[in-house]
Amino acid sequence: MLCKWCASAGADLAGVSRLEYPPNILPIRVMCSGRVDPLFILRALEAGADGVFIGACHPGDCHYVDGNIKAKKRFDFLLKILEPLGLKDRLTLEYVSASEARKFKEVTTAFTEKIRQLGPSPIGMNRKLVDLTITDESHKKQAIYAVLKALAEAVGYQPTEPFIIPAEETMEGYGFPIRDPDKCIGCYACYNICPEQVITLEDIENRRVFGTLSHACVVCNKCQELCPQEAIEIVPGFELMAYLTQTPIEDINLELQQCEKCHSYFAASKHVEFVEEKVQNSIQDLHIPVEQHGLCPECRRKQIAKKIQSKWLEQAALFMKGGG
Amino acid sequence: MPNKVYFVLNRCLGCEECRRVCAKVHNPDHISRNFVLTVKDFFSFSLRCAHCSEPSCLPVCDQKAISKTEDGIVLIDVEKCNGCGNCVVACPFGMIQLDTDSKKAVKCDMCIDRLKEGKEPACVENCALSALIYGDLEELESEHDKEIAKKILEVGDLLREILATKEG
Repeated sequence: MLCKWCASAGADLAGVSRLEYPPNILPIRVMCSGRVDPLFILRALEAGADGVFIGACHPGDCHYVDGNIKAKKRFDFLLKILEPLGLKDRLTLEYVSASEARKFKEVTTAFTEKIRQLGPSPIGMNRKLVDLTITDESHKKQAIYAVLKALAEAVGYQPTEPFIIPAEETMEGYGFPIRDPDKCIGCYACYNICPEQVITLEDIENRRVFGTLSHACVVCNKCQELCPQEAIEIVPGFELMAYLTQTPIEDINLELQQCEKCHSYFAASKHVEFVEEKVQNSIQDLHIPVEQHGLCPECRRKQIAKKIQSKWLEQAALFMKGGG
Repeated sequence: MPNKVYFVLNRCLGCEECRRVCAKVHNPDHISRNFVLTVKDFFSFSLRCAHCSEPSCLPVCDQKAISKTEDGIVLIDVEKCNGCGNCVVACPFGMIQLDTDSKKAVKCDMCIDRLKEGKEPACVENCALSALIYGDLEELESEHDKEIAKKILEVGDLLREILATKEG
């Protein structure tokens, strides 16, 4: 993909100057290298391209101020993602100005040579492409992930451990929530507010496990703003494994409170403590006919019903006595 | 005393009509705010939020979504509720549930929309045995106490006999 103003013009000049450059490249002119979406590159690879070459203006020469700088940042980010898939070497970004016909010839020749040594793309030409139809619910990231997944399948990449790209190397708009294990009390607030089901919650035996499907995070910051304990922070970053394997990455796990009667687990211990303390602080004398401490909601209802029943029998006995 | 839904002992058969009608009335979640519990396989009770005079769910809500109206109704503001589940843990009677679809806490609102239209709460209106009555406790007592209270118990005893013979 060549920038209209520099690399594409450079290719033109190479042609006019009768410089021979490899005939097996397919130049696509874009208005600016900043227009090259990571999705374009991924889609090209998915369709079976052996390599993708991006020609951009030299830094500072961009007609649109900083399109090439942005392109470079996104490109580096994409390289990081494609590294474990073994496709990193098939991409390159070069700065070629309109007057550098010779440089254009050199870099394209070197690139095609490199690709020739790597051999044909492992993805193959005859794939059925992933449907990227845009709907109201889908967003750009989903499209990128869909293509990434197809690529990972094609090259047979199966991640075994989280693949995290650090914050400073992440493209803007990517991030996921991290949790402070000391502050989190294990309530449902973040789990219930998340519009993309990024935060998962599962009660396994006596532990409540919070997980993150970090790829789906749209960085809406709702959980961070909402968390009553201020335990969640959205940090920039990128994680690939959770999506490819569809398994959330475990964040923390908390102890669950067991009901004293039915021995089922109903809420996180810290949550119960927190709520009880709050009730005690604000209400001095709580009039509850029966002891409800340490019971699950269902057993609390049962306790109340039992209490009413015994009251009823008392009344009936009184009535029988009185009525005679 | 504010108006409330009261449960008359001895009348309930445990038919769960109050649960069905409650789920029907409360769109769109269709979750019943009533609970019918049977003790010793025989004594049935229809229970719901008591709209406590000093509710323990009110102070624990971080979003201040729970409020008490002038009529004494404890209400959850669905817009403000974040579904953290504090109130579910706090309620000493276990009358608040967490709706897994809308991800909000739900509890009896005493059919506040129906009350505005001048109707009684749905469970009261549809209780076939009038085991649920709506009104002011003192008034109800003065109305029912002497004559009806006797009958309530008599009717209840009769029904219990009928049921017992059927089962036996």
